[in-house]
Amino acid sequence: MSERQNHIRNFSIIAHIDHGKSTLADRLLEKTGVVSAREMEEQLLDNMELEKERGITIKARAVRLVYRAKNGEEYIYNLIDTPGHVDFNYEVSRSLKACEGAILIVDAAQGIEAQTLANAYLAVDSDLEILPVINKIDLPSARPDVVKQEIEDIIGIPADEAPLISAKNGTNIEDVLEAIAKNIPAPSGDENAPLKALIFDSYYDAYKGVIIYIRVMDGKITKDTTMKMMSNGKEFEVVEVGYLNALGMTPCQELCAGEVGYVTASIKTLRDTAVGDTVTDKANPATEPLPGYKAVQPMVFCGLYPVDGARYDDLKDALLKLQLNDAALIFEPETSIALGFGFRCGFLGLLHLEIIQERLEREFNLDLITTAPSVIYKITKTDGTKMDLDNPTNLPNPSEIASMEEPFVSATIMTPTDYVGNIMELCQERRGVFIDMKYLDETRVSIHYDMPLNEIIYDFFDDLKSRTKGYASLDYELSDYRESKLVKLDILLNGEIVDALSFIVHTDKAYARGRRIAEKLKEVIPRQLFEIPIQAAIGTKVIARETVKAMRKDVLAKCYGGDITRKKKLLEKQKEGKKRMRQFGTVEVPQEAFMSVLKL
Amino acid sequence: MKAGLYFHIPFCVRKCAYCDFYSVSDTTSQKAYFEAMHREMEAYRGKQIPVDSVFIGGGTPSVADETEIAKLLKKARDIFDFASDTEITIELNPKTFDEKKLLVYRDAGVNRVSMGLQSANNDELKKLGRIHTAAEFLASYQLLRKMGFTNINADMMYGLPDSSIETLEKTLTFLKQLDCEHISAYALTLDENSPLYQQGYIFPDDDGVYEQYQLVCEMLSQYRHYEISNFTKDGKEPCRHNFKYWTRAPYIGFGAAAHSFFEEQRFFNPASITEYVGGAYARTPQIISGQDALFEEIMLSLRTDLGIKIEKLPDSFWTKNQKMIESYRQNGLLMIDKESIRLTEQGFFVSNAIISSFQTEID
Repeated sequence: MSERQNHIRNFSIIAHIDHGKSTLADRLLEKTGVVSAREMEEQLLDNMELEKERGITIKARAVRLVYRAKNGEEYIYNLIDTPGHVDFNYEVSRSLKACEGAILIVDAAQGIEAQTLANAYLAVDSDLEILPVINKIDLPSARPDVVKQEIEDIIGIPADEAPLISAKNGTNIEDVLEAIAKNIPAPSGDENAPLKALIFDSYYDAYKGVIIYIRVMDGKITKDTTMKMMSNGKEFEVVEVGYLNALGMTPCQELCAGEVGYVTASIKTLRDTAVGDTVTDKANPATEPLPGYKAVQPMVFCGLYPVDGARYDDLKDALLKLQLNDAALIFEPETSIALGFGFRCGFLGLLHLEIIQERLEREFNLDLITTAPSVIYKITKTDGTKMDLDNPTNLPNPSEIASMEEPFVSATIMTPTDYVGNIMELCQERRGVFIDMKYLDETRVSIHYDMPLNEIIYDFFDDLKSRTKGYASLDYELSDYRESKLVKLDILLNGEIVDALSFIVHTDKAYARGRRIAEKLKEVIPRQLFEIPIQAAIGTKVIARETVKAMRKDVLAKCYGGDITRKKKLLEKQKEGKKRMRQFGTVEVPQEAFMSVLKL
Repeated sequence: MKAGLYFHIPFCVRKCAYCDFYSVSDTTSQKAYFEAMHREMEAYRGKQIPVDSVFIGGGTPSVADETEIAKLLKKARDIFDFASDTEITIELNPKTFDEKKLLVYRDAGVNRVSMGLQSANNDELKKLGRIHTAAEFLASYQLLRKMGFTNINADMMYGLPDSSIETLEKTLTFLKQLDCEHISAYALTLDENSPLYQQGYIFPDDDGVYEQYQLVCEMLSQYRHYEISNFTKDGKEPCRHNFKYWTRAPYIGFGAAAHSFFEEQRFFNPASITEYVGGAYARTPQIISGQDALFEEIMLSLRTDLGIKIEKLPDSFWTKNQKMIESYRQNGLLMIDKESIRLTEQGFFVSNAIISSFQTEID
């Protein structure tokens, strides 16, 4: 280990959502003087507008801090921020691969939650040193001793010396900074070996092209290096290497084994820099790439269509740009009878879907229609062939289907014991299969269910929160496929199927869902010149029916004298308003209607 | 096509709660205002513009000095080329005129009178801020008849606060007994911030207003329903002046806030007596042509029972809208024959939706 490496610490902060990860990151930046108090704004690392609004971290981010420890030595800290929501576990594991250690934050009042555990396991799997930190000790309900015991009992790591902090008030942040130098291992790796660097993030900059974030494992990379991507053999002349600061980037001469930084190389094609790929030196290439990331598995699929069909290409470009730093997003072109040309997209979960949709609308100024989300079903046809189905429209005729399987997840819910009854009721309603329940201590339990994924992707999490006053936490992972009685539910407007609203549902749930959707559509579809029948049907059997009454009054029956201009403006405005509607035969459906039925 | 002249008299005893025409109750600037209208007319001297309708509206023209009205008409005859049968309408409000005033109007050539009844229910009149009762309207109406006016319009409204089918029926029965030549029936339409909304009244919803509209159509079936809000006694000509608005015939407006459509251009005066008297006349004219003119043609013609002449529609209109037109026809909203497309009475009442659904872009 070189002297240089000896003074580097690469670490992530992991936590359950809302336990204070971003706040601690802010404090570390402040205490190490990377940003002055004047420049400090809350959630500094979360620079996506959406992240600040929702108070969550979506994307991983990295920053370099310089800390002078009490022993007089100066250390370089590379902090790699991670998201906390279950949908973004993939981002967490990506960040961890670039680190030697992880700070595990636990809320002193809430204790260990489902994602505390899930993230801790991810860190253990990556052989990281875990440094527990107990946050929010300023809360009156804080019980740090109980939480310490929980950490030791449940996760099985010593927590006796865990710093007790309040990131909000800036209490004991020094303890954390000291513990990092003391407990997290320095990186190793041979500066003289052939270059091996892991791409852990990347994004597109309009001026510099693709900017990749790397962790150098072996060797070094300079601005004279011709780098080579080990997955596809693509080569690029490096233009700039440097460190990542909280407020920007600082170019430097070289990045050596153990260091974290960025590289630009006038990379124009978004697809050339896969996150998880290994960068090597063309002149002195490594023979084996680093172990890559586990290929990400999107679990939720839906169609995305531009409201204005002419913006199909804009949507495509936008998806390509987002995909560059969101490996979990996948998409391919598809067509809908109702909506025209669009894309079938795969997401980690419903939150991921919503975030991508919002980013497309905000950052790329697109108006989108989202079709009902679906999971992947496995179908065995009567002729023995098998198929994966991610779009309900493609479901074969029921007479050709021998059997259907749906994905199940293994779900862990942690909750105060008071809510066990409510949670079990909820899981039963959602077709869950009870596995076991373990007491974490006298007041908290961990409940384990096997659940169909298609019951979770809609509003399960919201429902869970509302039935437990927000106390329960959820984590889940895909477990297996199980045979199930599934049917396709179609929605008909004015007698015609709107394919974008079709979805697959368990037989027992079909009637209730069909009724709810028909009722909801009746609310959101405005009255039009004709009566509009809304039907929910399984095959030819109608299971629910509602009617939007015909509009009776829409008239300028007022005397404006010879002021024709005013009349004209009113009508032109009305005409303009129609552009936000989607036309199905003679029925106009507002864009919001599609979104409103997603969550039913 | 002969032109119509419009004179806006922006003075009222008191502004009604629903009104959004330009008007004031202070009449001190009256003299200067009429002088300004005389000046504005001068611009057309020597052009020999043929005219066959005049409409003196407001406001309440009868609030103004009747001799000013007479002078205005004299000047108009002097500058424009009046047809011998020119329709000359004046808007009056009950209680704002007497025999003497009517004599002056009659001698000045006024041959048509439009008077606001709005409702035959006194509590409704009160809510609307009207200055008269139903009985007072009747007295004024009888005075008009006595003075020999044979072409009278009465304005009424439906969809009123706290109204019902019963209260409307009373108003319509009252109107039918008057046997006036013309009736304008407007659905009360208020701006979002109208003071009427602050009073806690119950307004009929869209379906309720439609029911009232149906009753209006039914009870006035002896009249020709020639425009969304206008009815004329069978055999009588529609209001010649107002009909120009719907048929894109030329009209020239004088006075504050008055609108004009002349030589295919639209322009209007500022809605301020002070500015107008100060010499600020029509704002930059807007030339109406091509697609814009087609849209106007459709929007305006479909308000009338004559509908739009097929010959005025370009071929592209048919290819783009044929399906739509056919479904409207099937649903009883529209009629079509070799000459024209016309809306039914049911179609009139959803005409905004129908008109705005047509694709009128010219490729």
